[in-house]
Amino acid sequence: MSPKEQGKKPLLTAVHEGKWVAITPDNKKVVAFADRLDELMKRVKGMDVVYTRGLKSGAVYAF
Amino acid sequence: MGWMKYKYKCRIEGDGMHCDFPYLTVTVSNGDISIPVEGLIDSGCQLTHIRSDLAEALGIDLSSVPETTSIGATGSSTCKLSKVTISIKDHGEPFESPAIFSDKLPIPLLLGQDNFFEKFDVKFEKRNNRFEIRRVL
Repeated sequence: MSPKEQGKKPLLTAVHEGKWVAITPDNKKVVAFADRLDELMKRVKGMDVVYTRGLKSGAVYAF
Repeated sequence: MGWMKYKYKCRIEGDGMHCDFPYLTVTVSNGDISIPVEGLIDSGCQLTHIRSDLAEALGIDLSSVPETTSIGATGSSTCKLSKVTISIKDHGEPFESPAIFSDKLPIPLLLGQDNFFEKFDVKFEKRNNRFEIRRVL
C-alpha cells in the first residue's frame, strides 16, 4: 500500500528536494528552506528549529 | 534509562511504496557550537556519517583530518574522518563519536554502528510505524 493510500502526508514536498530545511521540533511545520545551510541558519537565527534535508520525490533510498 | 518510543517520519512525496524514515532529532556539537538535526538510524552504516556542510557550520576544519573511502549501496566517495559530540534529548550525557564527513550524503546525519549502536539498543516496529531506543552505555 502506498503512503497516499495509507493517508500519510509527507512534511516535505518536491520544492524542498536537495535543499536544507528548518522544521519545528514537533515535526509539524516547515519554517524555512535554502540551498545552503549557512544561508538557512542566518534566516532562522534565534528560532527553535531542527535542520533536515529534502529528499527526491518518488525516489527509493539505500544509504 | 528506559526505552523511549518514536514514530517513523514520512518524508518523501510521490507515489512510491515508502515515505517513512526512522529519524531521530540529534544535537551535534563541536565546542560551544551545537546544531539540532535529523539523524537516520542506519544499522547498515559502520560509522556515523555527517554531511560536510555541517562541519563548516560547527567550525570543524576538515583540511587537516585523514581521508577515507565510504562505500554505499550505489557508489563510493572520498570522505574525511573526524569526530563530533552527539546528544539525544532524554538519553543522558552527550557522547563523543567518530564521524565520516561526506559531501554526497543526501541527509544531515546517519547514525551508524560506531558508535550509536554501541551506546543504544534499538527496536524497529515498522508495522506499527514506530521504533524504540534505549541508552545502554
